[in-house]
Amino acid sequence: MYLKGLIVVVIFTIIGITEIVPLKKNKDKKELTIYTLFFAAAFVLMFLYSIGVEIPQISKGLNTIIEKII
Amino acid sequence: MSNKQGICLIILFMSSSSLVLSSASEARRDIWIAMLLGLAIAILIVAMYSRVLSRFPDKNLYEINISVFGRIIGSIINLIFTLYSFYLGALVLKNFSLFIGVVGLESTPLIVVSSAVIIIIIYGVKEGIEVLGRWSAFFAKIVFPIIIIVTLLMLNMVDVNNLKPILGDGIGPVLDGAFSIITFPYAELVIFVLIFNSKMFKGGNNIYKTFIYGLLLGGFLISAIVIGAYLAIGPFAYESSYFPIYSAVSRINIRDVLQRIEIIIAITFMIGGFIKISACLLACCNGIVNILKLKDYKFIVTPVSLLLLVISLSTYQSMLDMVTELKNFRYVALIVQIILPLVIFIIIEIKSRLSKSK
Repeated sequence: MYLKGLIVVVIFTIIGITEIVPLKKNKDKKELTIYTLFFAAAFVLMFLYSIGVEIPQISKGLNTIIEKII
Repeated sequence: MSNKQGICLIILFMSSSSLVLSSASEARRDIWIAMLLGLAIAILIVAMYSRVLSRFPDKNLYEINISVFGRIIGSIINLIFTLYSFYLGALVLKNFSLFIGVVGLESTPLIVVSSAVIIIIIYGVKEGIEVLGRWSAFFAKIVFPIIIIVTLLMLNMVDVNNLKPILGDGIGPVLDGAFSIITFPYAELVIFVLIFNSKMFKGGNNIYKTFIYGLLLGGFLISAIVIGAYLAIGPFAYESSYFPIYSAVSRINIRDVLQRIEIIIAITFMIGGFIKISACLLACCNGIVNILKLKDYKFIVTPVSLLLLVISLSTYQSMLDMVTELKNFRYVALIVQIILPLVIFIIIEIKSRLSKSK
């Protein structure tokens, strides 16, 4: 289980280095901030998923809302 | 981008998931009426999309919303479209990996299949809609003949009695089936309203031609293969199977020579699935760029794709779960595909008439 987490960390580090470095060179802070936010969200969720933490399902939430409305 | 490429994009988009998942099965023996009724209503919906786009020649729906409703309300509407395209992309990716898992790579973890697909999609989306259009124009030449040939090969299994009695259960199931086929896949073309603008196409404002021809050709192909599969395997097998067209094609046997050709349906689904996920991702990235006032969408593609991958992995875990968990998704689709664009269309028409009368 933790090996999967380690693989996720390694892969995200590689992607991060290859994509964030050119963004940093462009010196566009807005782009860098937005990229980092999305990237961090993806990393946290993927890491949690890889170590077996159950991520809340959007479809279940949608079902609950729609059933309440109907 | 040429009209032909736009039409091919639309056809491949439509013929992805609908080639393997059951469409309009609610209509049961009146499936053909539901398919035709759905197509007729979808023409009106798509004409509405084209009208909205042709009113603002160099803008996609996100930009139109901002210029019609202002920054705040426009951004809220755009957020709804962005979330919808993101979630639709995640669902298609999930179906794609589940399908491959069920029919081919049974022991391969879903994450491997999904990750392999998402890497290609990141590349495709970063290259832009023009490259995807050229790619579609090339692969359409493979997909069209496959669908037509497979439908013709099913003819010797066809039993027309499977469609009788006509309207035996009344009009209710037909309307239910028509609603189902409109929300999946016809009106999913709203994704292209978020990507295309009228000036994108060579030779002037051909947005009507692209949408209507794409819908008609795609609708014809889907209707042909769905009705063919229904006639071939019958109502019970069609309704009980998760992949009815795939199972119908697997029964094709021409004198023991031509058989087990269902893999070509899997290939067709993969080609269409790639386009569908790419289009959803592109629409989502366009939305993020528009809401956050960014210049270019390309830098955001990788993190959004990774987010899409993890959301896709964390949704339902089997086809059985899919049926129960997505039973209400069509209401969400109804809002995003029909109600919201209709409201936007009405407001644009009212505004333009008021400005003309002034």
